[in-house]
Amino acid sequence: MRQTHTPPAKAPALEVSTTLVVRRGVAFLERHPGVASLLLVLPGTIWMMLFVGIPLASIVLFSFWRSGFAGLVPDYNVENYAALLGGRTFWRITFWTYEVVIIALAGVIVLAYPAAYAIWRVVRDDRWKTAVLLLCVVPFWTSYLTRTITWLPMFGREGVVNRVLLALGVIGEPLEILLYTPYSMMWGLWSLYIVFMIGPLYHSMTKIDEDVMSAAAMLGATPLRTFFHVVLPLTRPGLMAGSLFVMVLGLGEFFTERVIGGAQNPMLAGLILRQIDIFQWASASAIAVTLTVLTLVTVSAMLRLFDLRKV
Amino acid sequence: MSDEETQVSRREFVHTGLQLGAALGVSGLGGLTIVGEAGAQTKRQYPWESLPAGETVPPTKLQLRTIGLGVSVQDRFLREFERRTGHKATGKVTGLTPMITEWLAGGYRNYDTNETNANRNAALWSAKLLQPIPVDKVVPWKSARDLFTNPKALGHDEVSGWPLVEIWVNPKTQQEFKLVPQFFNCDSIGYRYDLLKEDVTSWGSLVDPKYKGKVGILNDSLLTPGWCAGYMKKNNLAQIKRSDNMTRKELDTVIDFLIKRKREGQFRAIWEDYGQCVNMLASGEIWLADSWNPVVEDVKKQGVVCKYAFPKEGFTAWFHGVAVAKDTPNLQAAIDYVNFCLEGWWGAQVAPQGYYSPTTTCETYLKASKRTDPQGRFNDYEWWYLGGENEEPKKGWPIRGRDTGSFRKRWSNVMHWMVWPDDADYYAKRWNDFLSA
Repeated sequence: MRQTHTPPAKAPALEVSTTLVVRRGVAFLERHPGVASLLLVLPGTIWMMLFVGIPLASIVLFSFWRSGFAGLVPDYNVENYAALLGGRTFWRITFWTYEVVIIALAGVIVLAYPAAYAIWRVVRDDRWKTAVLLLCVVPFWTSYLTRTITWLPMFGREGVVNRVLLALGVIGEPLEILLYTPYSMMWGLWSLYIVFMIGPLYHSMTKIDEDVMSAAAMLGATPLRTFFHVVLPLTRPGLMAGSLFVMVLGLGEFFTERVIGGAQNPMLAGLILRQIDIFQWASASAIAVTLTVLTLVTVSAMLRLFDLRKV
Repeated sequence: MSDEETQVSRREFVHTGLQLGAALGVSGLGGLTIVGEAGAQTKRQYPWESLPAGETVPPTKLQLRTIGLGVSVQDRFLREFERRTGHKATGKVTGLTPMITEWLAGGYRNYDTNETNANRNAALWSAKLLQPIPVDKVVPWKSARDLFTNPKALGHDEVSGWPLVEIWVNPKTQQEFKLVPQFFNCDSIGYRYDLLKEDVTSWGSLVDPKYKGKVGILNDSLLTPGWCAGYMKKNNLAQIKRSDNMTRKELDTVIDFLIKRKREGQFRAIWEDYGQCVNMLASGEIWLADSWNPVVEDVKKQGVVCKYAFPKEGFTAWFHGVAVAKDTPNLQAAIDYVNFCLEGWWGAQVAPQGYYSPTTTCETYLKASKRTDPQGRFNDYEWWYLGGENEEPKKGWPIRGRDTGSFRKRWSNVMHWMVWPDDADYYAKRWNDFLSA
């Protein structure tokens, strides 16, 4: 019975001591800002270690093992890398991967600049700006797979484009170039990645001082000259951020090539899957490690061109 | 296939059950008593036997957790198993490679059975993740087809020892299963007869320049070079000893030939999954492809005139089976499931997809239904196993019976079984060369 009377008396004491501990703690952290930042990054670090660091380390480890018929064998060797880097196929696929990603990036830049520019300068009403930006984002509410597969009924022999062209009498036979070719794959990639470029570009454009644009106009610069000499240099951070997105996503691409590219020209990520399909986990790991290294090198080279941290 | 199509009347169920019981010669067991909705009592000897419609067995403490492809792991099958046995059944649908990879990585602890292609099952067996199933535990096996018991049977390959070598721990004594056969078939070529306007009679059509830009082929480092090797061997285009298990030199010849064709634009697309092949054939993106029987049946269902070829070089054969996990806590449920798949109902369910059942027990069910023949002259057994042979083809269709005819005709024309080759790594390497060429 006595116990039922004690809590009211204890509670304030506990409160006081808690407050005291918190206060002392805060004071300590204020005196040692290094410890504070360490504590702040701790949860994120643990998370990344568990779900990125360990899997990544495992893949690196497996890439030095051997694939047995019934699983990986911890029989350390560099055979996987030797076979991979020594073969022509790997290099052909690597060059093809970069070719695809660079053309995809160039196309996305050409398509995204006018779009972002239009949203920034042409659409005046803020509500319309939001509406147009939203329209760019809405397709991304559905999955990446759905958005890719949607091109099949669009570009097929009996697809929308062919039907319209046939009905208009522009063509006599359905165009087969529209689907299962590198062209259809590129179209798919542009549609997938464009929003990653429009967003950062538009954001950079809104940061351009109105006075700068007015000054260019007053000094007699044509809109084209203004674009190349004012807008383009000032939107470099957006361009670089967008390019990084496209580059990283593009290097990991495999689905578009498989589904609308006709699966006749695999990229590096697709090569990993094809190795796993026949239980070649060790060589799949070696390709994965190589792809990761290539991606890191590419990204750091891009950052060297323009350091986003300086923005 | 709708539920309506698959339901057999209550009387047929009872009748079938009794027939099966008699056919299996099972007697002397206590039997199980199930109380149905109407209060009627049904005597059965095994929990997996057929059960009158509307009756359900009370739940047991066991469960069945299976994993496999969408063709065999289907909700309607699991619900029927649950209804008959009372074991709670769950299934995971996945691809062959993820399934094997998951098991090898320790996932076998989460399942009681796996339903896999025989050539991949060898990986699980050699990793000791499966347990042998004594033949006497699989009651319907008494009605097994010759192909799965007799090395002299039609379709048996003496050189590779398939299919017996992947079924039995010891193919000679046949006392224990490594993998209990569940369904099987032969692959061939699916083609749009309306577009080609002629019959395809050889694997060579897939590499015939006449069909340049109209061909789809499967992205598979083993199967695609396999049929191509068979075609080249039988037509004396290359010296190949075994088209199912090539040497490096033989494979080089085949891949170089395929690369040459690829560069000339022979292949419109490389297909990777079932639905993709159905869509490509149905939409006319491709006119012919190395294909699977159910793919062709699915294309036909869309009202498109599609046929399954009878290649003169022979079919490529395969079988899927059920394997039981090493340490399953639900061994009885797993064994009941194996029996359920061979009891007849299951085999009859997959027959209209083009698949065959390793036991003849499905005949009872198939003979009782008449759903496939467009002219209604043949029951489903006559159509799917005997091939049907209408005098008149269906209006607008070139098909008089089942494509490629009877079971006997098909299995007397096997080119090779889809075995796992000795040098699978080299197959993979050369296949990548082909893809990136």
